[in-house]
Amino acid sequence: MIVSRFRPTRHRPGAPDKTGPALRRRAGASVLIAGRSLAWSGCAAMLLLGAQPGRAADAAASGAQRDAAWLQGVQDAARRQSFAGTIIYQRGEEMHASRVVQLFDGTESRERVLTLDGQQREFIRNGEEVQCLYPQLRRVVVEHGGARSFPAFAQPLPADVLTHYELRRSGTERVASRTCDVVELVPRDRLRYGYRLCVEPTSGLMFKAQTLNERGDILEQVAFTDVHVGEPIDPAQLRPSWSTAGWTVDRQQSEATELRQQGWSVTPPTGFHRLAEVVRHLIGGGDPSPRSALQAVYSDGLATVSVFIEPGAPTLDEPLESQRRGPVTAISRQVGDARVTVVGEVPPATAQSFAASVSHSPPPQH
Amino acid sequence: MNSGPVPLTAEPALPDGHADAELLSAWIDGELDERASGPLVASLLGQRDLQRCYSGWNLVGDALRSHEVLAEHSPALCARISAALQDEPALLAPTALAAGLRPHLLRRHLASGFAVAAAAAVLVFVAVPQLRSAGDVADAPSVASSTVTDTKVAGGTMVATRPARNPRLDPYIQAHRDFMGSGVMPAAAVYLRSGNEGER
Repeated sequence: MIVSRFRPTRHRPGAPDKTGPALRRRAGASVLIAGRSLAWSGCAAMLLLGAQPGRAADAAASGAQRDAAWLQGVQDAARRQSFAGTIIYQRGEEMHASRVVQLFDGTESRERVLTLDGQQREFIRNGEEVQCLYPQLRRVVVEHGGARSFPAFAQPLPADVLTHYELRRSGTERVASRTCDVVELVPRDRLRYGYRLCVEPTSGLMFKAQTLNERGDILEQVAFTDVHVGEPIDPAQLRPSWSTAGWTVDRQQSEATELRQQGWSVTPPTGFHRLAEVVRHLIGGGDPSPRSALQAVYSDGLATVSVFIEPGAPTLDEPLESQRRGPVTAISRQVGDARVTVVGEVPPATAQSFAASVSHSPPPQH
Repeated sequence: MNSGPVPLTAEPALPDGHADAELLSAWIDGELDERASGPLVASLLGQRDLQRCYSGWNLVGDALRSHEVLAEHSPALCARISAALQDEPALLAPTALAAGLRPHLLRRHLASGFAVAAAAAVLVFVAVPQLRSAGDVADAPSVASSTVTDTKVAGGTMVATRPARNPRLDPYIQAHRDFMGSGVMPAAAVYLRSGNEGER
């Protein structure tokens, strides 16, 4: 299994680092590797000192490091495994099945996702570029891999995640005919939802993930119903079902910007870090022409929140509009002449807190 | 369908070596050609002991299939049948075998029961969260107490209440989606999520 190389828990001190250049390039991963070395030197120190006061604290610390590394391993496996399977996604009243094929060639992963129900759609990902095919509309929307396009903003590390979520291992569960380890990520405050993950231990791949509210109700879940991991994949499986010659091509583009320079300030709730700040076009929603919006993205490692700011947008009919679908909360409010919209997989109070923190003051003079 | 007091055997009493009973069983199992079986079954059902067999078989089937249909019957009887089936499912085979039924038919009866139970489990997995998010989460039943019978059926069609959706917010949800893959959710889930936010 390719991924076992990336499972940090298997890393032995002194063993050659086989994580490969692609992984090491990622700022997050390299910091994590450093963290792991620290953890191991901690272990070595404990062995030398024998039973000493503070050993329990050290053990707890190394346990946290191990949990963080495990989480990183899960995240890496999602990108660095080759697999073909069927995924069921369920949120609120919706349920969808999709066929997913991912091929990792050691450097880059390519992926094809096709919907098995509802509208025919296909998503072809080559590295960071995603083509979304809408055959009924004879349209292709080309997107670039979001946050990964903005290396200037490092992704929060799992080590940080675990200051806001407690990782609990709770036995095993059978998913897609495999025995998976069940791990719960229980939020340490009411600002975020909880997660329950079933991870197949050999591949490190997540076979099932559930988002839970504070009462333990399932808000959304996604699971493989069948999957083949690590078997050779015919690259032909990654080719789109249609030739897109003659189709309309839309390029979804966004440019990095700084909210502060335009006089905007957002104060995120505890644990959320800024991931990206961009200017982008918003398309759809009843507006005939695309319009421009500032988008600031925050994440606590598991949940992501976007704050959109549109100066000069038409005034909202209602002072506060909101919507909840599964774990996704969307909320809009008017700030001066700008419309502020917050979207994220967070409880409504957290989205409101984001929205309430948005303020504008004259931009700094240069 | 109130069949009055029925002796509690897991499989209803069947006239010994009754060839018509076997035909009736085959018909219930869908083994007879539908057009050919019509008149035959009409005549079979004219016989009182076969009628009782038919009702009994259906009752067992209903007990296995649905708590709602079960409620149409005498609750005490249904409870006893359910309990008997749960405690000793193997009862079914010897009784009926003695009655001279072909074993594969009985396996079919059993298999359909288990298949229905399995389907119910799947429905619980899928339908319960569906119900709970249909309205205010607080009003929804808990997973532990929910069974497939919690699914309300009105006029033969499933009632699905959808939360109000504001299409104005769709472009934002679409744009947000670009960044959602940065968490632990698998990349594919991101595309799945985007699946129904509306065409652009």
